[in-house]
Amino acid sequence: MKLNGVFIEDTFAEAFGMKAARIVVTARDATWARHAGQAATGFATSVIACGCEAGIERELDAGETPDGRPGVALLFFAVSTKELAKQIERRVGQCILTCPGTAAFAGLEAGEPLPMGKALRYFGDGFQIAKVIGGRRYWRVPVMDGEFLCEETTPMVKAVGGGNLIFVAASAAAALAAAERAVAALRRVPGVIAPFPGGVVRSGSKVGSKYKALPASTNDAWCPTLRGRPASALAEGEDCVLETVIDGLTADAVADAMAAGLRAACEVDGLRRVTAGNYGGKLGQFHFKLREILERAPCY
Amino acid sequence: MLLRLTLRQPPPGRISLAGIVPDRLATMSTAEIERLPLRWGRETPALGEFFSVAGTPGPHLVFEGMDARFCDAARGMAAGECEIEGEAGDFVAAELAGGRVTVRGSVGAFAASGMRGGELHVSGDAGERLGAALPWLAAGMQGGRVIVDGNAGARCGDKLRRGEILIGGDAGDFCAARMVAGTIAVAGRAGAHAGYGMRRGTLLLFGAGVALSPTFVETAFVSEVYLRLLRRHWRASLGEGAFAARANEAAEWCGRRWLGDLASDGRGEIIVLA
Repeated sequence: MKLNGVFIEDTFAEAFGMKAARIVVTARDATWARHAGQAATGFATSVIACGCEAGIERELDAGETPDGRPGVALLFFAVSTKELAKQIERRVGQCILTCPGTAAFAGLEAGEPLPMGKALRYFGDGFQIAKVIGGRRYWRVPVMDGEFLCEETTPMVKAVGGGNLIFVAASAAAALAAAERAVAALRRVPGVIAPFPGGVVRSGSKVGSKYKALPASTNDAWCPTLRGRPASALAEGEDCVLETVIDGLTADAVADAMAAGLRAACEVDGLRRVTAGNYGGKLGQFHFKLREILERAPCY
Repeated sequence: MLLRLTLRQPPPGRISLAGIVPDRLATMSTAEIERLPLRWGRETPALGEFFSVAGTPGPHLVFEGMDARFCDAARGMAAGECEIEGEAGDFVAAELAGGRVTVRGSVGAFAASGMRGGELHVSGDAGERLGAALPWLAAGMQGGRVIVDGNAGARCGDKLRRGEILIGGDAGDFCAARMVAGTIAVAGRAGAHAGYGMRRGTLLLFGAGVALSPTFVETAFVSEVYLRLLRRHWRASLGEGAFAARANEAAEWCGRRWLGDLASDGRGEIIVLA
């Protein structure tokens, strides 16, 4: 199958069940909300070594936030409830509590509650104040610029992590252009993030390594400098490969984001083909078949 | 389904309406309801002696032509809606656990005492000790919301533990005294000794300056996010009324904040909005 002359391989992206939470962070202006969001979602590209995958889902206007100030919606994904709770406590505590003028709110309506202000309130050393407003419990923690207001808990839901698209191009410039276009398109879909830098990853990995200590290592089949070896997946003229990884609150959100990214990437000259990463279908419970997701109606 | 209890004759004395709540009456026939005993000292006259019963028992109960000598109206109600047309006596909506009670008139002392949930709306005035604890109890109101369009008497919110009391008019002396937590907001003036012995909680005053005890210390006014949330919540959930009108008057809330009562736990706050 071809889309705008780009070959779409008959394969699928294999994704996994994860646990996720959305946190809304507000501040006096959009700049400081962005600072807090970037810090809280920093070093969160992969659960392999970061503990969680996180990103800024989108920026919020004052009219969209609980306190009427500008903000950002952050998504956090982890492999277990315990790990997600740990990451949220650390990241909100170290990156949002510390940022001038910010407040943190639960961003999902329903789900298993994870502690947020409930854990961070102790920073107030006894001077913290609990307030229930409209049935929701908040903590007001005194800090040097006034108060840090934080909702007591944030709901956690089952989610999907590891949706992906792999762009094989004739040049590094074409691969990067395709990936950038894909990321720009998929980020318009609500409920998804692309956690790698700029949404793009160059170091696609395979499971395991010749070195026993490593759980993952370079995906040598897709490295252009190893092209020509029998195990290489690259053909002549395929000089660069980039990948985007997508985590979403639902499988539908991931599929919509993959479809949006795929359509956008295929408008770039020099893109030869698009494929996806999987493990033979034996590890992940979600399979996103590239040719099937293209049948989804464009929604963003 | 609406059940209407209309006053036939004024009560001879102070009669308790405890237990006459929609969630209990919903399963009874009108004949059974008329035979329900009321407490009048050591006597137990039937409800039918004082009220005519009409309509269908269900989640909605209306008292018509109420008299202030009936006390305990809607006491302990857990669900449904209770409307009281006229004056109501002491302990209206005391120990209320859920549902909504509306009084189109004034109420006596200890209204909403021990309340745990639901909402009480009084269109007239409230007597003393609104939402307050009984003398032998550690906590007064423990949840829910009380809205009074008129004035509230002395010791409003005494030992308040949780919930909101919103006063559209003035509050008497010792407002928020010995408050443990929760929120009290007064659109008018608060009397003397506001916040006396306050441990935690918030007293929000929209009126002109209040004479505070020296055991309250002024702090910086930097509770912007909390006040924004409170304001948006009230805008979304309050209908019309004196308090809602006052709370929505100013485009921005600004003012001064005091911390106290330092003679007690000292973690309460009094915010006076300009």
